[in-house]
Amino acid sequence: MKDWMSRLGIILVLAGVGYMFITMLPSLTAGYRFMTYNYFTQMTFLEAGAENYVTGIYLEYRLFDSLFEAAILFVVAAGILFMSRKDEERL
Amino acid sequence: MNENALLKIISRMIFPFVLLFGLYIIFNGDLSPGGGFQGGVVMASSYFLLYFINDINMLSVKQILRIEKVLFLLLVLFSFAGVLTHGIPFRGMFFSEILIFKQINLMVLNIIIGIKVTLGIVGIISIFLEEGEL
Repeated sequence: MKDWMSRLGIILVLAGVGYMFITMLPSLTAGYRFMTYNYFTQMTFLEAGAENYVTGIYLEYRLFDSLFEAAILFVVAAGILFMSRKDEERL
Repeated sequence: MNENALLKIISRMIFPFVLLFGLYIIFNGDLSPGGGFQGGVVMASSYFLLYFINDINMLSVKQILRIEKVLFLLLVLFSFAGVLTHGIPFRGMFFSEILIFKQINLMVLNIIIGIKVTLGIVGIISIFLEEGEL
């Protein structure tokens, strides 16, 4: 009995998600969905000096996140080195 | 002849070209697709060409972590250097109407991040390789 109930639940959830996705599609071309796109397209070269939009975003508008991304790489290397120590007196 | 001779010869020949390609991706980060993170991974893969095939270990993990500490501090200081001239952090040092200063700011950031990513990935995989030999 639980077998067909769980399958029915999964089918209903997928049908709901599919319905929401299909009703969202016509609004993709509305004007208000392009506000950030237009801003970044027109102002990146004037404010960041980069012709590559991705570089302008991750090095000028979102530099704070790139700082923590570099910190993650460093902490991962130090953490793996810490975990792989064996047969040592001091930690 | 030894059956590994072909791999060793080809890897030693290709190593400088892959390194140069990684540097090209880093330095042209603000004009073409690429940047610091992408070029750093390409440079790390050039190091592993030699390490896997020829068993040449050029850097030890302790030296790598020591250099990474300095580079991370450099990145933080350079990001906050805008406070000296404008009073706003996370802006370039001489963020003005002149284009060349903005491009220099982007290029320095890309170089620091590229070297940092290279050393990080080389360190992580070197630890796994050394642990397998014990």
